[in-house]
Amino acid sequence: MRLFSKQFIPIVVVLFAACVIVTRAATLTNFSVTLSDLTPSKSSVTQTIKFESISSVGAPGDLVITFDSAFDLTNVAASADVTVSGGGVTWDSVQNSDLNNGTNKLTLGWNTGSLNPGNEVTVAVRFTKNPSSSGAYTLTVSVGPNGFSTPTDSRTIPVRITPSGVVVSGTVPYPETNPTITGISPTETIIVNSGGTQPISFVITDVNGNNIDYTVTPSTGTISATGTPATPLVSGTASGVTVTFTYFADGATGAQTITVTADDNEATGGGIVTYDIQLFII
Amino acid sequence: MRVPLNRTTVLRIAIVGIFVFGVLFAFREAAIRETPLPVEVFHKVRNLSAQEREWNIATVAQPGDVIEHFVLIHAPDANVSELPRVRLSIDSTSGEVYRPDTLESASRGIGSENAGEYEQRLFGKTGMTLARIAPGEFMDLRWQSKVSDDVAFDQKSAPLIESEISVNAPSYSSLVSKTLISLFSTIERPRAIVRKTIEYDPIVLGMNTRRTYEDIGAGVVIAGQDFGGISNVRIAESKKQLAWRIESDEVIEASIPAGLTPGDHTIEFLDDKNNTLAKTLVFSVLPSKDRAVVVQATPDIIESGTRRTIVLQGIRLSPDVHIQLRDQSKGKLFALENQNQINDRVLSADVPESAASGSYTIFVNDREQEARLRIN
Repeated sequence: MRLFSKQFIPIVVVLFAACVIVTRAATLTNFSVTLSDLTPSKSSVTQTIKFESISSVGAPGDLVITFDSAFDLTNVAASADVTVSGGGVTWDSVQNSDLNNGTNKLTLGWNTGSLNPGNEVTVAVRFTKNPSSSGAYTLTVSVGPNGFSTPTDSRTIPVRITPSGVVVSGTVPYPETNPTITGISPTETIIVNSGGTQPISFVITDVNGNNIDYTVTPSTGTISATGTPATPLVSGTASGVTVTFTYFADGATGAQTITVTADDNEATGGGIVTYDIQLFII
Repeated sequence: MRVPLNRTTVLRIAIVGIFVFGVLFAFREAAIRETPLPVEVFHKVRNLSAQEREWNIATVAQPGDVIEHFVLIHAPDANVSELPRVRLSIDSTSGEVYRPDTLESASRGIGSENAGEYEQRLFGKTGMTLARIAPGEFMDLRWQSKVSDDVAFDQKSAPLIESEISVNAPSYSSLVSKTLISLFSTIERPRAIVRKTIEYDPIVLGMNTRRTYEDIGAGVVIAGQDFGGISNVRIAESKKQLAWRIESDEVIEASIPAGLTPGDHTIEFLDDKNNTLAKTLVFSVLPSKDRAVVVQATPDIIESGTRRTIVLQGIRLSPDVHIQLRDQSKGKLFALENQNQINDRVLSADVPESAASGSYTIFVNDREQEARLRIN
């Protein structure tokens, strides 16, 4: 006599799968990882990790972040470079020993409160170094009781490293090409209250990687300085350099502009590139 | 009658000459040693790993800790002239390592994107040279270092790490400022977070720039300490509040509005108890009404022997303004070429290939401007 007839097999499979799901950790939600720079081999990159737990996890509890082994964390001094907040708990102060460089694991703990479902946790890790080649890597976040071996909630997501420039042979230079002004932040038209201040940034990119002289001139009001970094930009322009400054709306109201000029000092290939950042002062 | 010079006479003259030269040299060196560099240097540290927020001239740390340094070089308002070619260099005893890409300066536009260009010079033998520091202006620097993990402990004494910044300028004695880090054992700090009530005691030190135009205004950067305790920044004469924001505990960005009358004006600061700080900052408003003005040339240093396009920023820069350069030493005038108006506040123009090396004053319609251009 057979133990199960064929018609029971799908039911057994479904029951088995249900058991597996019940015993697996729940998945974290609203999970994101933002890198300040996605370029391969880039150092001094800040990784900002945000998530919400599904389950409530009481104190004392642990949050473990496992970085892909291709990321270099040897320059991270956890006590100074790692910040953690949110989740509805009081986080322990971070020690250097919380980061294990051998396993690329960062363990953060809390001793007061319960990690609340739906309450966002934000972790920032500065001075990481990206893998040397582009591709998809992973990052895993797990939460559970202090010293857990099986997490209460866990999730792994991909982290993509992409070259923003194009690799070319050193013997075949680019034709002379003008720089570009992009990435205006905040999005135009930028609305500023009269008498108020507004930090603004843009990105200057030059595929040839030339040094660039740039200027920033508002049609009304003033800016904090010529921008940071100061003109001229002397390196890193191939992958783009972010220029930041503060605009002070202490002039006329209505539609206004901030004129940005950029010159890569090439003999040919155009002249000075200009871009008008659109403002509206109310 | 011509006196023949024999060998003994020549020897005597040479000895006397060497003696006189030696005495003069000794006098000059003594004079330089006795002429203190007219700047103030603040060099402070805090232990980021210990979550320290306040700056001190000394701190305690354990191996592996991250230390943040802050240096402010400030030329007092009383300085009669600007200081040219101010050189800075930084030296640390072993046990403390600079963290790459952490060098920052609000006044010089140094950030993580371009820190590498400056850090080699600043922490190397050559040092970093500033073209000038004008009276009342400042230079700020901030960087992080890490106490080596393997720093050795001596059982008999507390190990000290000394960090030293030297400031030099021609014809003045050196100014040296030091900070100390004392190391303690590797026992971990308590994990509990200590909550502190922060008492602010804001101090205002300097401001870049000290000049603006009546029609344009200017964005300025103000340096000092404990700026978390500043509640208002305003013009003292009119009590008109400026547009301003705190960049950090040491830097405020503010705007001098257009429309002020030409002459000197004063900025005053209110603390969080609404008391006015004793220290104020004076700035000058230059006349610019109804005239074309060039505020700045970019770049302001170019190479000779090649045609070079520069961008001029200012006001009322119509296509027909006549812009010339005058050699400051020879007085020779020549016009810029290919003027191209981008808008009435920006135009581009070419410096001809024939322009000789030197320092040049910019003239607009025969009026001298504050902006300068140097051709190397």
